[in-house]
Amino acid sequence: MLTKSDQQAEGRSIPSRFAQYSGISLKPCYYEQILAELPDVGFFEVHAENYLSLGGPARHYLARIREHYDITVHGVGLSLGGEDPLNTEHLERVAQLVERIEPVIFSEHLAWSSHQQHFLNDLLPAPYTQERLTLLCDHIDQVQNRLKRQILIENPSTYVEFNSSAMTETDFIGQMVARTGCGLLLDVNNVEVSCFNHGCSPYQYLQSLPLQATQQIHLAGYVLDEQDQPALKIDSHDQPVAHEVWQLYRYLLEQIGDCPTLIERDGNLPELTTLLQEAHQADDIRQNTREAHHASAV
Amino acid sequence: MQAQFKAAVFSQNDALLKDIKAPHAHERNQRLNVYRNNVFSSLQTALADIFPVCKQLVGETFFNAMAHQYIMQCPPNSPILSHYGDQFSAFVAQFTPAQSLPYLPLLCDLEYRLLQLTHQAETPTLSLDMAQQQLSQIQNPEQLELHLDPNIQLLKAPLAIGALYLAHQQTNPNLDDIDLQQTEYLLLAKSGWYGRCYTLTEAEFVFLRGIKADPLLPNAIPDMEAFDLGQTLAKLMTWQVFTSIIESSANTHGES
Repeated sequence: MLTKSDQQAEGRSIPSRFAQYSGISLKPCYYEQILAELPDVGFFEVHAENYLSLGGPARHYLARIREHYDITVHGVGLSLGGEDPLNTEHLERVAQLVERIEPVIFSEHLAWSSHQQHFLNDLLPAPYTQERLTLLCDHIDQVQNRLKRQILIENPSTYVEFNSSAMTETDFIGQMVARTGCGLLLDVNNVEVSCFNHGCSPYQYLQSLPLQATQQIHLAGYVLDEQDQPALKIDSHDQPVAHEVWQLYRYLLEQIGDCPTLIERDGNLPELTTLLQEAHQADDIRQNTREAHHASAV
Repeated sequence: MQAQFKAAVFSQNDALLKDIKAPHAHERNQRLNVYRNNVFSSLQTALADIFPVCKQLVGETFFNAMAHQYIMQCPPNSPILSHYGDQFSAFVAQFTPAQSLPYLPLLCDLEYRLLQLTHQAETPTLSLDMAQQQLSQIQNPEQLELHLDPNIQLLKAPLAIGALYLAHQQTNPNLDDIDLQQTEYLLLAKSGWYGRCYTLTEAEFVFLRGIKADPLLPNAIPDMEAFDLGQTLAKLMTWQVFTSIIESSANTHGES
């Protein structure tokens, strides 16, 4: 188990641009423009699985953009919440990427995506049982030991809850953090989506989380599916950040203070400037938070 | 539980439903459908990215239906989706609604090969200037060795899939001049960061096959009237497929 203090003892400090300014998802359609204009943004986040090739444009452009910006790496394929042993070949490839890019943060999900030899390409829900918690913690330990760093785990967006769950999602996350020393990547859109879908308060949900473990925040967009009843919010990552997610974000920062933030977008990609504007919107809220905390401290 | 979940996604098996919290079966299914849709639509999108020309040729509706069947039969084996689709060409060849398009499996095979080539490590190859310079230093053409990028592939296709593929790299593909029944000789090579497809004459294809097996130039020149060595070398140097152009070291040692 690696703790934040272990990380600090190893001499890794959080770079200032990542800490100060919000970031956006890095997508191939933005590569050339980023290198030509070097836009004012805190960092870029990549999905690990898109950057594991030995060659090709993704590897090339990531290396060039890394020369100018901090990078965070977000894994979507380790299936940490799964029943099966981790795919060590895949973990090794991810570790090589992390060693090559030296990201500020490596994060993964509280979800599973592989079963036996098949990869389902979605972040699937797990029942919150002691047995599954032990498996998840073993997997997180295995990744932290291989990467030799603390990782962050993202809270899921879900559409189902299981009768077989023996504890709440927030208790499960709290125990996960306590047992592994991992950090929390708090996806505020996921909180909004899951709480809407399960009829509970996102504010109470936030209060039940181990918020002190939060080291990065994700903000994204959802779509509301009202074709059937009950209506469900779908974590689509293809829309601007919604009004109620911004509100929840402000509330969260009031609780925990300033925190590095990503505008996460995977589909229906807008002009780069649109994502940058959302990042600057987050920066304004963060600046207000810093000033408020500073004022209350004085 | 995962086995039940996977079965629910792929075969509408409802063993999982009793574990999903909801007041009635309709809502349990509705909630599970979000995952079904996510799995299939994300993988259909991935296949469309891997086989873009195939999708253009058959249209989105046909492609998604074909991709859905493929995903059912062959879910990905790896979280790296650029590897997905290795059996798509064979699947399309057996897919009954696509039987009227005999070129489609060959085209899918070409698109898959090019994507894998794109993701392979780049090999340093000679720029046109460097190739010309190395060629100009050769004193004895009988000892000339042409070393090819080991990543290149040579493909003989019974139908004109190369022309079809290349036409679809344009914004408005012009298919009027393509004789689909034409046998084609193709070179797949990396240009910059991307796998590219080049069409060859039969003589050029035989020459390159020879060079690939044995880099000594005289051994590779085909006994074919249509072969033009100068023109072929100029073309290959422009495509930057050589890693080195040298005089046979065995002979150099012998002379010294």
